[in-house]
Amino acid sequence: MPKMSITIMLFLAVIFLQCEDTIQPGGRGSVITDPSQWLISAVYDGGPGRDGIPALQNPEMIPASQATYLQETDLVIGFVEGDEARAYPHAILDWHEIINDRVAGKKVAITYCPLTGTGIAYDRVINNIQTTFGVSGLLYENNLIQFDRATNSNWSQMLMKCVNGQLIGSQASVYPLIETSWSTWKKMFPGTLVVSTNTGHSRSYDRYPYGSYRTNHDLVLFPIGFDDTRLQRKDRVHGIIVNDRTNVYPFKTFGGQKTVINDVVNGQPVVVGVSGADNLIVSYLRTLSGMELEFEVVTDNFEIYPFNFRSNDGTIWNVLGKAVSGPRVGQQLVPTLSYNSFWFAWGTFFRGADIYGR
Amino acid sequence: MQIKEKITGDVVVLKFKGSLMGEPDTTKIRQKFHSLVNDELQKVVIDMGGVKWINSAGLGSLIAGLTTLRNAGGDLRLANVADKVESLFMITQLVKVFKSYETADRAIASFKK
Repeated sequence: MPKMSITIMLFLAVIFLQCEDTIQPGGRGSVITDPSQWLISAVYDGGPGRDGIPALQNPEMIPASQATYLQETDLVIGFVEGDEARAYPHAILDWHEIINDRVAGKKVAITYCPLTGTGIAYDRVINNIQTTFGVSGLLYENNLIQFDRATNSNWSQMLMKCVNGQLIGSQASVYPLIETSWSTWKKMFPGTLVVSTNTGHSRSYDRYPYGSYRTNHDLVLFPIGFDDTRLQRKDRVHGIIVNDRTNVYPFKTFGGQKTVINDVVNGQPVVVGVSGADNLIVSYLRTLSGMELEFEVVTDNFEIYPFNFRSNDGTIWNVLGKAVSGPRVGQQLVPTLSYNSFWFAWGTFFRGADIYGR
Repeated sequence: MQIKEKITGDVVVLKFKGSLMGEPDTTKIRQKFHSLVNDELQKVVIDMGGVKWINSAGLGSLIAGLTTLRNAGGDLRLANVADKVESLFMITQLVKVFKSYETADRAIASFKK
């Protein structure tokens, strides 16, 4: 059989096997969901179909020195567990959206939605059952809906919640990630491993598949529920969630500066560390052992990290929130529930978010 | 979705307008391709300029059309694909399956090579 015919038949198989009973075609391109089976409405068929965008499973990892396909300014999503650091480049995630991996024994799914610019690490153990996640092909507010293969339940990536299926209503367990440039990540973690382009799939990893999407504020693929015009749609923000309130910190506000912000989100004291030149924003709770700390940025004499924090008790904390010297040495700040996003997505998911600097 | 048909020499240009999001459009498209093959018209260009979006079922109907035409010794080529839709063809790797041209005229000309 000719090679092309096999390709077509395989693709057809993927297209038609993805049909779901609960999805019905609706008008003007929308997909109507049965409200009794979904927690969200206006779910769209993104086009590729279920598994049409193939998630990766335990991909081949290589040392930084071998990752010649990456440019220094490319963004990567970094995950650290114990002594192990791994980088998951946007260049790979743009094409696969989900990487099911195991890092230092922790079973994690690195999920990334190219349309909303959101990377979130999900725990792959749900109710004591190990699973993997796949790309459903459905979108809610332009954002990835992923499914777990153990129960076929659908999860809204940004809501971090199961919105359809057996586990409906369940909240996901997520892990903190650090998003920054490849050059910065390598400097922080010289021993890092990074995903190889030898994924088992033939993709042009040196090519961004969505054209001008990342920077064109007028280019959004599906209707936006609430178009908050306080920022431009594709502005990148670091958002912090505290119960039903959120604050966002736009990257463009900081330019190339390094700074630390002592802030309060919905009554919760937080510290936000920024290095604009490194495309890096991290955030932690400021309360530790019942004591509220105040922080300032330390940019002198750093060797590994773009900046450190100094708390008002004299402790020095690195970018990972670990106390490296001073009275609290060895202690760990608690990461906020947060991730980076395009503004238009944050604005519609978390309406009325407070914007830093406004 | 609307389909307008125009024949230039032995090439049929189908101009699609609207969104291709499943039934009844997918059946309509399949029937169209079978009808063309029955009339011994196997070289087809789809002018995609008016297509706003395609879902997985819509993509499936295009692939089915391609298969029908190639099995009959012809081909299906695309023209004037909008940026949004182009990204879908890219992420699904259908760019490797369909030949795509900037204009319908260029797609027609490609059959003469």
